[in-house]
Amino acid sequence: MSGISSVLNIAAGALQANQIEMEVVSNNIANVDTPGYARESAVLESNSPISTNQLDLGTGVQVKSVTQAIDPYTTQQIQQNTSSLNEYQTEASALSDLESLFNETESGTLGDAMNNFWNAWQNVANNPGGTTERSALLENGQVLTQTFNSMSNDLAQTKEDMTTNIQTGIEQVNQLTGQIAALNSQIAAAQAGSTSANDLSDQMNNLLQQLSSLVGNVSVEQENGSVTVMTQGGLLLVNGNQNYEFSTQGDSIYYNNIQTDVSNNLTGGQIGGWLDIRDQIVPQYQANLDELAGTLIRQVNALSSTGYTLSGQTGIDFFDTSQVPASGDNTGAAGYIQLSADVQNNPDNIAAGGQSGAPGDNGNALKIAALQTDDSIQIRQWTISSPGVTPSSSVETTSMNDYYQSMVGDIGIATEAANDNQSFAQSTLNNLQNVQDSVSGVNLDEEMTELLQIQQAYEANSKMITIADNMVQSLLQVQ
Amino acid sequence: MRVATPTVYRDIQQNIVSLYSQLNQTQEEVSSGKNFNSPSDDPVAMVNSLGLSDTLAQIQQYQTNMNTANEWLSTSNTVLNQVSQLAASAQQIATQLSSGSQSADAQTEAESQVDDLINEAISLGNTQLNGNYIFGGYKTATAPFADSGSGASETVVYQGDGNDFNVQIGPNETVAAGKNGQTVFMDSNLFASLIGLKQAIANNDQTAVQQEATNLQGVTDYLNTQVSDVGIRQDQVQAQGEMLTQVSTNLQDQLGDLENVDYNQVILEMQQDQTAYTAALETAAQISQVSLLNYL
Repeated sequence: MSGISSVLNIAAGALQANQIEMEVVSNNIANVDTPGYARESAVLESNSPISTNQLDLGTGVQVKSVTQAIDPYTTQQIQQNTSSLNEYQTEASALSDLESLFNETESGTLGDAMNNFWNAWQNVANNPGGTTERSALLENGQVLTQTFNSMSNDLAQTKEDMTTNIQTGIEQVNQLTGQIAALNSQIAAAQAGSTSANDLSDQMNNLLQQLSSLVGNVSVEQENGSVTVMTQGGLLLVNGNQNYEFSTQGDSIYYNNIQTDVSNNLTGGQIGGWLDIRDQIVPQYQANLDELAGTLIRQVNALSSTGYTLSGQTGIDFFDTSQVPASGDNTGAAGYIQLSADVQNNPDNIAAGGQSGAPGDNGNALKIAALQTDDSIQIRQWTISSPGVTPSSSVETTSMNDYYQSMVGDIGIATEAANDNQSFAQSTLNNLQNVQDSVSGVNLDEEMTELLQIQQAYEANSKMITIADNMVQSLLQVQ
Repeated sequence: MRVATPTVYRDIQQNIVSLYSQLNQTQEEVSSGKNFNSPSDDPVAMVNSLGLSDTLAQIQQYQTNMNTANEWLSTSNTVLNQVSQLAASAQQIATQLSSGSQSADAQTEAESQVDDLINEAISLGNTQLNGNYIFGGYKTATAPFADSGSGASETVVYQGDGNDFNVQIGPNETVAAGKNGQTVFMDSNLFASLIGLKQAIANNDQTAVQQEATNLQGVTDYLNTQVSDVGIRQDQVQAQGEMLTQVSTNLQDQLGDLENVDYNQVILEMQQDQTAYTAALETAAQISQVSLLNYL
């Protein structure tokens, strides 16, 4: 085949190729804002030439394939950083909630309650026989114990909230791994049938991105295009068309129906953040708050029990001891601290006297009030370095006020660090996204230019058909 | 680098969000007047300011305590001065009587005067402050001094104890705001001398009257040392009070420097943030107008 009909064929083929190119461009424009969409381009190839009369003549153009502009390395990095960002975001927001419990820039805090408590003891020392001063001490003692109790409650509530979040998160993970497994089969089938799986791989990236925001994971693409997904801790989540699910029971997370808690295997993402808050951050503050409350109970009672009430009784505790273990263990103290039944509603039973029940004896009240500034008190300080690690502790020699202040400082530093980590992860992610966009993103100006180019080619090819037609007409007019 | 269309919008969006949050932060500082509104704003400053506030609260309490100490001390001072004068007038009576023989009327008169002085001394020893007997040691609810017996067996008994009332006026400083009645009155032999004088007058015993005149001089001297002792303690409280006031002023200055915003600086920062924010908004409005589409 040669001559005019060949010209017509070449032009027709070119028009077809132009239309496909146009379709690709319009698809790019349509998806300019679609998250995870990778820019596509039509790859043109000239057709094999035909030798006629020792001439190699070209036979036009065809679209060889439609490819995606993808930077797999950046895509992986984005997934990793999405996990980090979500973990830090989760931590930062939970910490700023916790921080408000310790926010000493406001009133009604534990620091205030402690100061008022010690001042009330001083006032009793100023007038040990006075019922007003004694009643005020009991009221301030009540406020102090209630503040401890409510902080302890709030911390426990935060842990429960985290468990609820984790349970919801785990369900979403199961759903996503199910979808990824299903998509794996589709991709494998598409590749086997050698059809393009571009849109499917966009979907896959989206799913992996969502999974990464929930929990840190590593994904590896197999030869058939399917993706194998594991947690950062090495638990297999998706392999081919098979996904492995988690289940939750109370605080525990089980993998593939094996009744062993795998919480420590899950890091990164929102779930990693929730686990950090629940198993590391909150327990550490809880433990230290308990130490403070426990120390207060023991120190005040040690003096109180050697003093004398107005009626001359001795051995009376100020704080309730029914739940205080004999050993030095202070676990739960912030939750159970309360006034002893002896002093509650009975101000006369405050052991203000140092040697007798005489109404002017303030010897013991002076000693107890002096606990406020006593900086030789030994208080245990707990550290939990990461979830699942056995808490370690050291004994600090300090005053109770200083101990509390350093707790406030710690939570401030932790919140500040989480905020900084969050902004750092956010800006890293932004940079990575810009890098990815520079490869995969759609630029409308670029697409429009391409459109103009295709349009001109299309017009030129149409012109070829007209010209060929004119030539045929000319031939036909030869009579 | 190739820039995709969504990148431009995302960058603008993120810039606007972060500038807005920055603006919000400075606005919060301006409106609250505080450099930090939560521990994470500045943990180190927060802990410092907590320490300062605690110390200030303690100082305030010590100042309250000092008021109590001052009430006790100034009442003691007044009472002891009166008792010392009382002892002096008793001594005067004794001196007059011992200068020569007196009429029976004058004797009876003097005896009754001394009896009044005894009652007055007891009543001064039983002085109450806000319902507390201040010379009873720890036994603040019981009158410390009581007249017992009559004639030759008359005595004044002390019913308080030997403890002093201490008030805390500093972290490691207490002051004896109330000395017990044993130290102040009984050890002075005030009552014994007065009763001795009364009996000597009743017995018309010139030598004994003279002896009591000498004794009463000793009583007055003793009481005067007690008065000056109270004065020393009042000075101690006053000095501590002035010291604490000065410390408190210093601490408040420090706390202010730490907590309170420098309005000049923060308002300038806020204006800068506002400018940056407005610029970002204007850029966003401009950028959407620039596109090849406009020229096709």
